This record gives sequence, structure tokens and C-alpha cells, in this order.
Amino acid sequence: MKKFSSLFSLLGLLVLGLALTPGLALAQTAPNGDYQAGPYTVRITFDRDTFKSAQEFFLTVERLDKAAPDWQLQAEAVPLRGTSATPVKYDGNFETSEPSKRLVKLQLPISGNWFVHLTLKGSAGQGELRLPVKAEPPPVIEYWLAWLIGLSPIVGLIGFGIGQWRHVVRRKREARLVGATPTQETPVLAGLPTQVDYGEKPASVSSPKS
Amino acid sequence: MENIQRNSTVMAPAVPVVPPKLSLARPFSPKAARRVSNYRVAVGWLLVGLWFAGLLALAWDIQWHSVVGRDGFWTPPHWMFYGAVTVAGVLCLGLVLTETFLYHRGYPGLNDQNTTRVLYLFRGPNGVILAGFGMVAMLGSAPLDDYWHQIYGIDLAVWTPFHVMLAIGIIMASIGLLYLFASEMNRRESWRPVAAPANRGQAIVSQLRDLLSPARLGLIVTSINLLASFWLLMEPTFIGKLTIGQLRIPSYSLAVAAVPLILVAVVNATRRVGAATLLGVVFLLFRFVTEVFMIWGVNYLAVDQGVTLRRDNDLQVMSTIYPAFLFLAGLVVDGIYWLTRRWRSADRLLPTVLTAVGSSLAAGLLLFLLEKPWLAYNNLMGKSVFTLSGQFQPDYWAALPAVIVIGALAGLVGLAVSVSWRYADR
Repeated sequence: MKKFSSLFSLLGLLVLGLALTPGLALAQTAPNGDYQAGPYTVRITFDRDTFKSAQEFFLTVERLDKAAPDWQLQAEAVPLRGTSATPVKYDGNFETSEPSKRLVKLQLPISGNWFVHLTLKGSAGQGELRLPVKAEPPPVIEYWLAWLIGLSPIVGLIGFGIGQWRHVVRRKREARLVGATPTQETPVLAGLPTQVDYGEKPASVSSPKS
Repeated sequence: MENIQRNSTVMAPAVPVVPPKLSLARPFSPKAARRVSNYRVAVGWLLVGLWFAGLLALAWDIQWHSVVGRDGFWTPPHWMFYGAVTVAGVLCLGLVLTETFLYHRGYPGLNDQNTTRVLYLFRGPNGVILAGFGMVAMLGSAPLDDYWHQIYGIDLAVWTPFHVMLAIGIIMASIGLLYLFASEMNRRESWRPVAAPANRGQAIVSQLRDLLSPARLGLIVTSINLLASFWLLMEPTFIGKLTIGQLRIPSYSLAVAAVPLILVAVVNATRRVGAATLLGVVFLLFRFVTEVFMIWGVNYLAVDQGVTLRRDNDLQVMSTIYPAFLFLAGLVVDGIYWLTRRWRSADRLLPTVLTAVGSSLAAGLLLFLLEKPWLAYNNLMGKSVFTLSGQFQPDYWAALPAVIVIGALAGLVGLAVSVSWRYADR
């Protein structure tokens, strides 16, 4: 029996491994570099080279120009055509210890092609920047495996249904033995005193005979 | 032991009744059993409250998906839903662990008849056990659903593997709660005094008091949970039409014809005329609360997150399709049960079946006529696009034979469900 369970475990792992393999996708490099956004020259640095969906990552925006020092940064991830998602705005503390730098924490909830839309605002004017990024999907499981997992709780529901049906059959059999209706037999089983069910109950069983 | 023997003689003196699996070695005290029942009903009501919060959150989430989109997993509707499910799951677990501990300590309020064994060691009410597993399924579906969305995007069809897992969890939790209240309702019937009502007025007061008793009312209110869950699952079907040959029957009309199932089940199980109407009225209240909550919730979130709505938030996805005339259908069911009370008094099979089928059919037809699919579609779209003379003629009337069949079948199934509830005792 132990041998079989080990074999099944191994087979299970193998099936899972095979199911996951097709989802391993190629990575895309982060668009690091120097950019011109309106009156601002900025250096963009991502904290990683590749991006995965639903994984947080950081983007540093560093001002290289000598324009007015006051500036604000807004960030939004916008899905490109073919990516089934809605734009996501990011806020939070963009400040860093250096006034020329801002840090943005991003997360792309859906895999696919996006661009990070940065808006720089300040007394020097407004500049916009669109940085293409690709969020890789997690390893993809096969449809049949997903459906198997998704439908697994139904076993519990069916089990409950069968149990309940058997319970009713058993109680009915017991009730026939006693000559009682379900309402009557309950007190017997619960070990509690019996009572009258007004109105809705047959007259013949409304008052227990002692 | 004394109690069992005493009650056995009370019920049927001629037959020595000891149910086969009743453990005679365990001490049993009615007082302790009442304490257990009170505890279960209290936990049941807490679960109902949490479950309503969960349903509101689901409706909020569906509305959010519709008017904004799905912009991440940790949205406030998700927090609210999974938060409610988690707390409810912990409550279920707590109740089972408490009863397991007490059972193994030999507490006199618990025995093999009022608890179910699960996973060899644990003991608890089977409804709570089922509900607990339902909560686990729902919580388990959350990361898997998020994973699925990460791969395939937000605009998925509703029938994806992990949405189905969530739906099964929802159904399990709703059914589990129903069985919890059904078993406690049955147990509590034995607590009331033996004295019969002296006159009709007293009988009505007694009837009303019974209808509003915690366990019976719990069963009625939990039925609303199940009904709302059914509509949540129906939502994708509602959009389409069922194509049979040349006919395209509005599936919404078929769905409303099945709704009396729950009305018949509730009236039969509680054996109280008025239960179906009460269910309809509470459902209407729930529909109203859902609508108000969704308008507030989505507007609040949209402002808070600074997002632009894809469509008008005044158009409610869920509350629009919840049947509004359920209380009238309830009145019909109650009315038929009231009129046939003498006919059914001997508990014979034929009158019982015919009343269930007839009342369900009448209520189903009423809902078919009142809950017009084109009005629901128009409400959903925010403009009068669909009309009876246009898109729904003659398909709407072609649904009538199917509605009759579904209505009648719903009565039979409702009756079967109520029998199962009547026999629930643990």
C-alpha cells in the first residue's frame, strides 16, 4: 500500500510538472535608460529586468536636468491592446532621501503588455513618459487540471446529499417502527419531552398518548 | 437512559424504541441539550449575518467589475467578502472544536444523535460541518481565481474553473446553514408546552410566534441566502437566451419559474403558513439594501481610487435581476397552503404532493408574468431597448410550457427538500 501511495505521489508530481511546463514564458528586459519627458530629462531604473504579473516592483525616476527643483510624479499602468485589464493608478510615498529622485511601487495585476505612464509636473511644466513593460504570466496549468481542482468541492456536496438521503431513509424506517411522523420522532431521538404542533399537524397525532 | 425510556413510552408504548445507534452509555440531559441548541442557533445567526455581508460584498464586486473592471485582487469588495468568509469559517471551526471537546468530555447535551462525526475525531452539527467546508472551498478558490485572472485577464467568462469552485463553496455554505437551522427547529419543537390553543386568536398568535422563533426564522432568512446565491450564479445565464431549435427562450423566465422551490420547501419544512410571504418580504428588503449598498460602495470606491467608471453606476447588475415580486409569489403559496390545510391534515401523500406542485406552479406562473425579462434587460442597460413586441415576441410566450414544467418540478423538488429538512436532527 505504501509503495502505491509513493508511486501515486510521484505520478502526481510528474503530471503537475507537465501541466506547468507550457506556461514558462520568455522574459522581457526592463526599459531602463535616460528619457526626455517634456522639459524634464529623467533616468529610469527598474529594480529588476523581468516582470511577473501580480508581483510588486520598484521604479526609480531620477531628474538629470537642472530645471526648477519642485516636481511631482504620477504613475499609472495602462494595458495595451490584447491585455484584458483596466488601468491601475499608483499612489503612495514617492519621496526618497534625494530630492531629484522619486520611487514608485508598481504591480501589474494581469499578464500581458502594458505601459507605465508617468506624468511629471512642476513649475517648469508638464512632461509625460510611456514605458513599455511586459508582465509574464505565472506557470500555466492545463485546463483539465484546473477544472479538476475547481470541481473538487462538489465531492463534499454530493457526499452530504447521499448522507442526508440515507439519514432520511433510516429515520423513516425508524418512524414506521414507532408509528410516528418526523415531528414526533425528533423528541424521541433528542430525549426531550414532546409537544403539540398547532394547526398544521394531523389531529390524530396532535396530542401524544401516554 | 431514563429520558429515552420515558419518551419512548410517551411516543409509542407498544414498541420498545431505542434507535439503533443511540449510545446508552452516555448521560443525557435535556437542559444541557437546550444549552447546546441555543449555542448553535446563536452561532447560526452570526453566520447568517456574516453570510449576508458576504453576499453584499459579492454584489458589490460584480458591480465593480461591471462599471470599473478588475484592477487587482485586494479590492475593498474582495476584502469584505473574504473577510466575512474567513470569520464565518473560524466560527464554524470554533463550534465544531467546542462540541468535539464537550462530546469527548461526556457533556450530557451531546450524543451520537445530535452530532455528526467527521474526520474520525471531530463532532459537530452536520450543517456547520458542510458550511465550514464551503468556507474552505471559497477561501481556497481566492488565490486560484486570482492566478487564473493573472493569466487570462479580467474579462473572463463567469464559468471558469475557480469561479465554479467559489460557486460550489457558496452553495455548500448556504445549504449547511439551512440544515443547521432545520435541525435546531426540529429539536426545538419538542420544547414547547403541550397545551393546545384555546381559540383561533390564540392559534394565530401562536403561529406567528412560532414563525418568528429563532431557529424557524433562521431557516427562512437563510433560504434568502440560498436564493440570492442562486441569482448570483444565474447572472451569466440571465444575459443570454436558451436556444431550442428556432426558439430563443429567455432563460430569466425559466429561472423565475424555479424560484417557488424554496417557497414550497420553507412552508413545508416550517409547517407554518406565512413563511413564504415572510421570505418574500425579507428578500425584498435584502434587494433594497443591496441596491443602496452597491450605489454607495462603487461611488465611494471610484472616488477613493480615482478611477473612471466604464458605465453608469445607477444601473445595478444584481439588484436589477433579483425578483421583486417574490412576496406576491409567497402570498400565493401561503394562500394555497392555507386553503388546503384541512385536506392535507391527514398527512396523506397525494394531497401533500398536489398542494406542493399546485402552489409552486401558481407562484411560478405569477413570477413568469410579473418578472418580465425585457424590463430586467432594459433596467440593466439603462434604456428601453427590448420590448415584448420586439425581441421577446413570440419567444417569451414560447417559454410558457417550459415554465409550467419547471414550476411543477420545482414544487416536487421543494417538497423533497422539505422532507430532508424535516428529518434533520443533528
